[in-house]
Amino acid sequence: MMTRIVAWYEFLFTVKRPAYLIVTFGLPVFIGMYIGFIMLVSLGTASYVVEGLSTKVGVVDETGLLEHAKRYEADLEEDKRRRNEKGTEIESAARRFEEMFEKIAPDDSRTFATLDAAREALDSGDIDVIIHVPINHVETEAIDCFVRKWKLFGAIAAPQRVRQRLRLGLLQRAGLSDAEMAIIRGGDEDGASLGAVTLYELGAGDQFVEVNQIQRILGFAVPAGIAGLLIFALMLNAGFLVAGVAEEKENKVIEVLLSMVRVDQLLMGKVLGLSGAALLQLFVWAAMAGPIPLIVAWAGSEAIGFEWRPGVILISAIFFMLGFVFYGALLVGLGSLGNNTKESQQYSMYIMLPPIVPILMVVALVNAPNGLLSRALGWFPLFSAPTMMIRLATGEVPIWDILLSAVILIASTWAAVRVSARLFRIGALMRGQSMNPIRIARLLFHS
Amino acid sequence: MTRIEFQGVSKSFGGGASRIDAVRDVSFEATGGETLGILGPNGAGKTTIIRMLLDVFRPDAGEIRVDGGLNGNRLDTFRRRVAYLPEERGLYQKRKISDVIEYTGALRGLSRAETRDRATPLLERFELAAYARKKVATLSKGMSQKLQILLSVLHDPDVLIFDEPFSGLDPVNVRLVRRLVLEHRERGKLVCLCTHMMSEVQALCDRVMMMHRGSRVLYGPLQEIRRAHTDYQVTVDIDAAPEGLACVDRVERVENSKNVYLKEGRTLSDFLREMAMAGRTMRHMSEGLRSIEDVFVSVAGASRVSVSGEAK
Repeated sequence: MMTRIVAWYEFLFTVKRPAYLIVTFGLPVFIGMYIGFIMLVSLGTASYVVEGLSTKVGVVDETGLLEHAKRYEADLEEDKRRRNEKGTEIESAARRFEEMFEKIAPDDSRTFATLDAAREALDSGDIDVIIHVPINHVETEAIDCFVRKWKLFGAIAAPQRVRQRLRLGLLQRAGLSDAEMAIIRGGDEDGASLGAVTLYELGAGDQFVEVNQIQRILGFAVPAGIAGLLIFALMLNAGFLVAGVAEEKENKVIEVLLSMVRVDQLLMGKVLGLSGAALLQLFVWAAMAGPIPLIVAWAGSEAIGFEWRPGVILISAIFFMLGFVFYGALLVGLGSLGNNTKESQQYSMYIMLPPIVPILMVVALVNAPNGLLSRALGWFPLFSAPTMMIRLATGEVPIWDILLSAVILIASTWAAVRVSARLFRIGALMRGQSMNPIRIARLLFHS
Repeated sequence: MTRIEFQGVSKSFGGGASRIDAVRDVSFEATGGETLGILGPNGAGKTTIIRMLLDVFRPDAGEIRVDGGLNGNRLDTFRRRVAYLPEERGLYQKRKISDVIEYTGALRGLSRAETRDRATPLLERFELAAYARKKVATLSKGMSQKLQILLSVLHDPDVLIFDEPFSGLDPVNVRLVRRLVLEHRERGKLVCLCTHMMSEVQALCDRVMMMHRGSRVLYGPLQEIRRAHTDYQVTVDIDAAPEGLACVDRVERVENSKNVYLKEGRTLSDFLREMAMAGRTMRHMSEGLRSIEDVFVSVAGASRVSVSGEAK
C-alpha cells in the first residue's frame, strides 16, 4: 500500500519535471535520426559478405577472369618499369585504367578449381567464405557467397575485392565487348556494385540455403532497437532517480519520509515510480514513431518476408523491468550516500557503467550469442539485463539460458533491494562524510 | 491512550576504534495525556532515541514497546499515529504547497477529500491559506516551519514527536505552537518534546528525561526533578532578617526580597513555626525551586555525571 502510494507520487512528480518532458518529447527526433543512420549503414553493407574480421577467402572462378587480372597486374608492373627506364610515355591497355585501379587491395584469397574442393576447405575451417564467380558473370554480374553461418557484424570487403579483380581481368582481355566495357565503367570508384551478391549459409541437412540479408538485419534491428531504447530509457530515468534522492537528502525531507514509510517501501516505491515513468516514456516514443512499425510490418511481410517476434520483445521487456529495478535499487542506495546531487551522481557511476559494457561488446555478443563471453555477461547481474536483450535479438538463445539468467537476475534484484535498504537507512541520514567502496562495505557490515 | 516504553535500549554506530555508543542502556516510558521532555546537550543521543522509536534505526539491545507490543511488529500502524517534526527541517522546495499536503496526506493514509477537509482549517489557523497554490520556496523560514508543523499534525496523530519546534519562530508563533501542544495533550495525546528552550520545557512538560553521552542521567516528573536538585528555598518579603533561626542555612538578598535557604531536612512548616515563635512578620512568601534550566546546566555541564544520582 505505502509502496504503491510512494510509487504513484514519485511517478507524478517525475513526469512533471521539465527535463523529463524535454527528453520524452524531444529525443525521439534525435533517436530517429540516429537509428536511420545505423539502418542506412547496415543496409549499405548488406550485400557484403559476412564472416569475420580476419576472413580467409576461397575463390572459385569459372570465368577465368581472375587469371587475366594477374596478367593485367603484371602488364602494369612492366609498363611502370619501362617508363622508369626510358623516361617516356608508353601507351598500353592497362595504362588507360591505371588510376581507376591504383587502390585495389592485393589478392590474398585462395583459388579452388571446383566448388566441391572449396566446400571441403570451408568444412575443415581452412577458409571462412567461398566466393563463387559463375560462368555467366559477365552477362549477369552475379557473384555467390557461401558461409557456414551468416553473422550481422561480419561485413568485410571480400566480394568487392573479387569484383575489382574481375574488372581487372576484363581489362586485360583483348577485344572488350560493350557489355564488358559497361561493367568496367559501371561500378563506382571502389568497384563496388550492389545487389549482385547472393549469399548462402549452411542450413538443414548440411545444404546451403539462400540468406535474405535484409530480412535478417530487420529481424535483428527491431528487437535490438527496442532493447537499445530500453537501455537508453534506463540511463535517462536513473538520472532522475538519483537526482530525486539527492534532492530529498539535501532538503532534509528524507527524515520526515522515513517517519512515515519503511525504508524498503520508500526505496521500492521510488524505483517502481521511476520504472513507470520510463515505461510511459517508451509508450510516448512508440506512439510518436507509430507509423514506422506499421510500415516495417507491411513492407516486411509483403516484400521481404520479415516476421515480427513478439515473444522476443516480451522477454526483452521483462528483462528491462528486472534490470530497471535491479539498477534502480542500487542507484537509490548508493545515491543516498552523497552529501549533494553532484556527489550522488558520482557514486551512481559505479552502477551506470556496467550496463554500458554489453553495448560496447555488441559485436562479440551478436556474433557468438551463446559463446562463453555472452553467457558469462548474461549470468552476471551487473551486465545481465542489457546483455540478454542484445542476445535475445539474435533469436538463438536457448530457453534454459534465458530462464537461468532471469532467475539469477531476480535473486540479485532481491539482494540489491535488501542491501540498498541498509545503505539507504544509514546514508539518507548521514551528513558530511565522503564515501569509498571500503567505507561503504564497512557501513553495510556494521549497520 | 498510547503508551511507549524503552527498556534497556542501546545503539552504537561504526565498529572498532571508530565505534560510537549513541545510546546506552536507556529506559523510560510515556503515556498519552502527558508531555515528555527529552533533554540533553548536542550529541547526547536524543535524535537516535527518536529514530529508534520510528524504526529508522533498530536498537542493538533492549526493547521498544508501543501499547505493550514490540515496536517492530506494530510499526506500520504506529507510523500512522505519529507526528514527527525533525530538528532539521525539510520540504520539497520546488513543489506546490497543496501538492506537498496531498502527498503527506496520502502517506498518512488519508483520502484526498479527508486531506482537504483537515488541511483547510489548519491552513487558516497557521495563516497559510493564501499560499496554498504557491511553491514552498516562496515561503519565509518561519512560514516553512509552520507548514511543517501543519503537515505533521494533518492526520490527527496520537503521538507528537517535536524536535526543537520553536526554533525560528517569532513570539507570536511560539505561542501558537505552544497552544497546539497543550491542546493535543489535553485531548489525551502523547507529546515528546526535544528542545533546548528550557522555558518551554518548564511550561509544557510533565515529565523529563535528560541524556548525556548516550546515557539517561535524569528522569522523572518535572517538579520532582526540580525539587531534588534544589536546596530548599523560600523567597520572603520581610522586614526583619530571618538569620538566627534554627532551620535557616543562609540568606541571600535579591532586590527587595530575600532568598532563604533551609538546612537539610527542614521544611516550610519548620520555617513558618520558627518565624511565628520569633515574632517576625512577613508580607509575602513563595516557595522557590531551581529552574529546569539551572538543573540542565549543572547536569550537562558536569564532566562526569553519576547515573545513581538521578531523580526517580
